[in-house]
Amino acid sequence: MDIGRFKQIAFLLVLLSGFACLAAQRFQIRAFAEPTIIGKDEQLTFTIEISGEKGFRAETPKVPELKDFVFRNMMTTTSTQFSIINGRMSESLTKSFVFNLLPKRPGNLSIPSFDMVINGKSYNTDVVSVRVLDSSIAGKSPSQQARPYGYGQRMPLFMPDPFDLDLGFEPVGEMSIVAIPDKKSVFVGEPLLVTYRLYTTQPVSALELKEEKDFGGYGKEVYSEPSRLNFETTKFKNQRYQTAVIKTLAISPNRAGVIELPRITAVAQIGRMGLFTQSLQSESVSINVKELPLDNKPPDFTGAVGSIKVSESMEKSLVRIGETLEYRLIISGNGNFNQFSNPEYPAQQSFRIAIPVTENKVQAGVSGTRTIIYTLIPKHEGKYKLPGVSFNWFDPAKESYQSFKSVPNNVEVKQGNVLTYISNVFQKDNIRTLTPFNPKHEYKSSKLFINSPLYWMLTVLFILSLVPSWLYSRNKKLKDTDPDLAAQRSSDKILRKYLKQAEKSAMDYSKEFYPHAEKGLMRYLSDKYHIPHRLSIQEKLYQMRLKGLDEELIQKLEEFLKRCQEARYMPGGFNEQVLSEDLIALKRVIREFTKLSYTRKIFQW
Amino acid sequence: MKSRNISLTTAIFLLIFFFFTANLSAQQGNGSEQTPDYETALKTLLALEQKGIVNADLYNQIGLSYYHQGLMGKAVLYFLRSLRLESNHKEARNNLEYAFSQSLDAELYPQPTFLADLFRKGIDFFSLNTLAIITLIILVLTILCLHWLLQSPHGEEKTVQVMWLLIIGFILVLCSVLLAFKYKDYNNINKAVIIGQMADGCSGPGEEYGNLFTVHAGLIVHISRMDKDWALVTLPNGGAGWVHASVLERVKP
Repeated sequence: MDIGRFKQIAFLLVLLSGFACLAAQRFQIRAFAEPTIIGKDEQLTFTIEISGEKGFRAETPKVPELKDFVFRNMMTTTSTQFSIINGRMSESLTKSFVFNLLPKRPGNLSIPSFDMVINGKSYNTDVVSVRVLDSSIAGKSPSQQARPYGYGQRMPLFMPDPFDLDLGFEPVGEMSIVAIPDKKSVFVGEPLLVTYRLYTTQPVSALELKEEKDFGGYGKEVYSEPSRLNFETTKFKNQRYQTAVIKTLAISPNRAGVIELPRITAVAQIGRMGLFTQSLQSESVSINVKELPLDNKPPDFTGAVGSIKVSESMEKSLVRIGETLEYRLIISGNGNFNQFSNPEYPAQQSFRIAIPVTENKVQAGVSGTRTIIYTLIPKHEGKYKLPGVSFNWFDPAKESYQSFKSVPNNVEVKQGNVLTYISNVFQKDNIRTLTPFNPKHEYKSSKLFINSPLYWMLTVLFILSLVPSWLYSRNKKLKDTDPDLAAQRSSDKILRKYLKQAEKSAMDYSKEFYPHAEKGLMRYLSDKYHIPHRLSIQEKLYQMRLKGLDEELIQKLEEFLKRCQEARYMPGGFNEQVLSEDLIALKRVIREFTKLSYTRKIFQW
Repeated sequence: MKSRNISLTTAIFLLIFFFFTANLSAQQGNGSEQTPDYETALKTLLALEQKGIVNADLYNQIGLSYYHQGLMGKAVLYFLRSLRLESNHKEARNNLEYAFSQSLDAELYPQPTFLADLFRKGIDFFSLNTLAIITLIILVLTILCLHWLLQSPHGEEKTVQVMWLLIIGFILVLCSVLLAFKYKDYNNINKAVIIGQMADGCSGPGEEYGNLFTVHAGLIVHISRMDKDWALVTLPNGGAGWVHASVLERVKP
């Protein structure tokens, strides 16, 4: 590439960028009214739209003195548009100021020029003409209406719907909560529905109900509360609004006079991003509540007011003692279901009347069906004419008291049988009534057995009874499997007992040492070598010799036994000084005998 | 032999007849149409309770008095106290279920499955005292079986003894587990009832926290935690929130 060609290209690039800079400084201002032909009670929007590359700064235009129009409100919208043309990305910005104007009179009217400042420089819009007709032109399609244009050369599009915008929106429009009662004048107890609607010209993304202020004189319940705002377009005072039901309350006035309906407070989030919030409170709305007429008021009137239908049904005409009979009173329609009590079933000689059970299928306590179930329990056999109940209510539409009188029902009561009882057993889960209130004068305090010491003592005692049984069973098993070992253990036990006594006597220098020692030793040896106890000492020694025991050991035993005999029976045979020597001799004899067949040491003296 | 069978059958029928006749007479004699003075009766019953009398019938009657005076929360509380002492108290069970059916929060109680319902009925069939006695008897039987097994001659076949021991031992384990379960439930201090007409459940222990739910008198809840005057409760449907302690009363007095 030569230098001359490079210079040409560089020049072109500089030229293009210069044009680009110039273009960045340019913006377009358009002013237009929509619609341009309107009825005298209709509202128009006058829009000033500034569009250009991002970076311009437009101040909110001041509204000039309007001779022919009333200025209602203004809102601004901003939108950004990205475009890529020939690989170059551009970002354009459009800012609109939308003024809502209401014409003062019919005729050809002009919207004067608006002054505005953009990037520090002043600009004026053109005067826009509007034709205001004497009659309303509502219903005409937008295409039938002329679309004027202002400063810009391009024909404007429809005004952007503010509910579809989310960027750069500033809340300036109208918004309110309106309480709409379905009746303005009611009787005490006559329910009415109050619908709370949100009216807005702004794009509400969310509404948070904050508080419900009550003024007394009524009972209320939520009739419906939608989970989302379902907007619909409506005209209210000649202004296009978006409206949605927030809540419907069922109000049942309980005193006469003028009562103010609940006012609700909410916070609306505006725009999809919910960047702006606005607090709202419903307007104060009152209704007139009339007292129920005293003329012809039935004595057993329980307070029911509304448009009510009453019917009845008796379950059966034949009942047995032990069975129950159900009488149903069905009250349906629109009324103050939460404000009247159940009529009482007249007392009967031959029937016990249980407390009635109420089944409600009522919405918000004002519309639906209430079934009152009276359970009658027959006491005596016979044929009876049951009167049923009477129910009175006040009908606000007729402005008079209405009455329902039950037709007497013929019922036959027969003696109960086994089947009656069985069928009652199977019907136990079907709970229709409370048990009778039948308090006693005295009650015994019940104690928890598991907390008593007796319970745990018995438990431990029973468990401990296993120990002797186990020991006994173990000995028994040992006798069966190893009789020698069993005999040895038995003799050890006996020896231990007698020797303990002997040792004690020795410590006390008592003569009793010798009989204990002799008896213990011989019993031990008898058990050990299976020698009968009934034999004399000499015979036992003989038996031992026969069993082939060590002669030297038998002689030692014989000597010790002789010593015992001497100490016990010979005069002067007992000597306290030799007692300890005899004890040692005894231990020596026992040790040697125990060594004979078992290496295990039984005694550790 | 044939005539003996006939006499036995006749005797059984006669017994059944006398039983039902007595039952029906008792039913006939129960009724009284006069509306009792619940307020006065309640005062008398509460005075008995304050004397320290702990009795399932007394609690049931107190519950009924409260119910008839429109105090659903207190009524449910006392029906539960009655069942706490005697889970097989038929009247209290009936009244509690009736109160549930009238409760504004009835839909918060989950519908038990057939097996769960059967299990609950099985547990409730025996009161704590009855179950304690049954367990003791089963323990004695188990010990007798053990004695039998221990004292059986050495070398003899012991299959029958072992079989009985296993069967009775299994019943003993079952009864012991059930007894422990019931005893734990008896001492449960976290079971409570909403006694205020309405209670708001908040997301934190204070009125400044957001409202999560509103419950009504008579709803049974479980207290998980206390924070000064606020209790974190779990609802029967598993939901949880903080309610002011003044609207609650524990079932265990």
